[in-house]
Amino acid sequence: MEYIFKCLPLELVNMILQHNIQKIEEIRIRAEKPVIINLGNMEIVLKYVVTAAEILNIMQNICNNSVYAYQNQISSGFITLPGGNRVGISGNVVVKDNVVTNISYIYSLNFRISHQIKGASDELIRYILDTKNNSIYNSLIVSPPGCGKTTIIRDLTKKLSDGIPEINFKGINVCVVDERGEIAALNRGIAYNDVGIRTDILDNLPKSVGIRMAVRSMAPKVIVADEIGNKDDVDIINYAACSGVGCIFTAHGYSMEDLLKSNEISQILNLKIIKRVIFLDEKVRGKIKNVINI
Amino acid sequence: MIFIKTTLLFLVFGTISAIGIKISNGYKIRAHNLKQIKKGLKILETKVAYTYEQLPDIFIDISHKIEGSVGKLFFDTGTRMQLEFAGEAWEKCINDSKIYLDYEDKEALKSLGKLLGKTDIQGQLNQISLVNNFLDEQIKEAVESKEKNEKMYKKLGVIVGLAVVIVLV
Repeated sequence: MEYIFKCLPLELVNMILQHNIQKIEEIRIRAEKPVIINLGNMEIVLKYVVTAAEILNIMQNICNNSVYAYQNQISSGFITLPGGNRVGISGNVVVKDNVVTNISYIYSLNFRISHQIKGASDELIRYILDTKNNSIYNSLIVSPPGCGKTTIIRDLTKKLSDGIPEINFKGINVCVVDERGEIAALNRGIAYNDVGIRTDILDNLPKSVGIRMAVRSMAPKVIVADEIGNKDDVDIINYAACSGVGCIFTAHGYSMEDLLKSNEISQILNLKIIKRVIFLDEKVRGKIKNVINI
Repeated sequence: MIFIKTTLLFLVFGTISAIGIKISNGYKIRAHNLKQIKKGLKILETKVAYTYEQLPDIFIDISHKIEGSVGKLFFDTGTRMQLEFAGEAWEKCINDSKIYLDYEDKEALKSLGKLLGKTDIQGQLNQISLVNNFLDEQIKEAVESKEKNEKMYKKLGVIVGLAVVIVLV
């Protein structure tokens, strides 16, 4: 939060500090609109209207006075901050040859505060571990957005990497392909989230490129990636699985029916690579709804 | 008495000559400073275009490659940028700097601050290039002034010094 507060106008920071900052999940800033903070189930509308010029100043602070250095991230619609928090960006999007090249006039910023919860994957890990072989079952963790998938795989990665002495599971090499920088929160070569002692991180690159790089260069036992479902993902996941690397991924969805509606996920499931599909409860963060063995 | 008088005359001659040399050196230092700043901006341009490093880091890095007051200008700006907006930091550091430059040189350099760190790569490169072009003109003018005035002020200092001594004698 310290870095976020450094980026915001002092008056706004003072207003936010009047609330329980430990519970803040989002700070939503829109041009010429009041700032809204989200504390879990509670939303608070602050009496602070941000001007368009202030948004640009906040943006400059976020980028450490170097907006040009964050152009790729801005084009992706978000910036990862030191400490693992993320800022979503919306506004006038510049598209060239069907590729987003910039967001020229920024309308809104959404500060998403990441929480590293130790033990978040305690319930789920027993479905994933193959203790006999000191390995894992290829797994897909599914839930709608905001149900704690990323928090769970972050904790899961740490456990697989560090090992779990209680059940005699020895730590294994894990590679996180962190397309959006949310899992490990790598910034200037430092992982701000603890993802374990045997974890390598490839940050801010498409999964289709990152997974291939990971298999070729880092020799991981397990690859972890967030939010699969792109066209290119099918081939690359097949490649990783055929290379003998364990896979743990997440995807958006409510049910198996939902998943199968996506051509890409349907293809991945048909390849019989994924052995466990774990659905999270959409009402209670991090709780398992059901597990399907394939 | 003669000894004191002679000493005073030497002092007067020395002071006036030194003033001439100082004015003459000013032309040399200004041209040198402008060239050094241009070198710094070239490094800035290359780093912005190819390395994606952040501005405070780039400015500190440049300060390690350039000595003297110009290096200090880049160092102070890089340090100040960690707390202030890049453009404001640059302008304040130019104002506070004791670097030997003309008013016009300083104003041209300050124009870099308008968009510093605020735009995409192309915007940054365009702004740097604009300031570089202006610096080229200033360097040309500074070199011409140096060639024209450097020797003249040195000689003038000595001549005026001698003239004053003769009058006093």
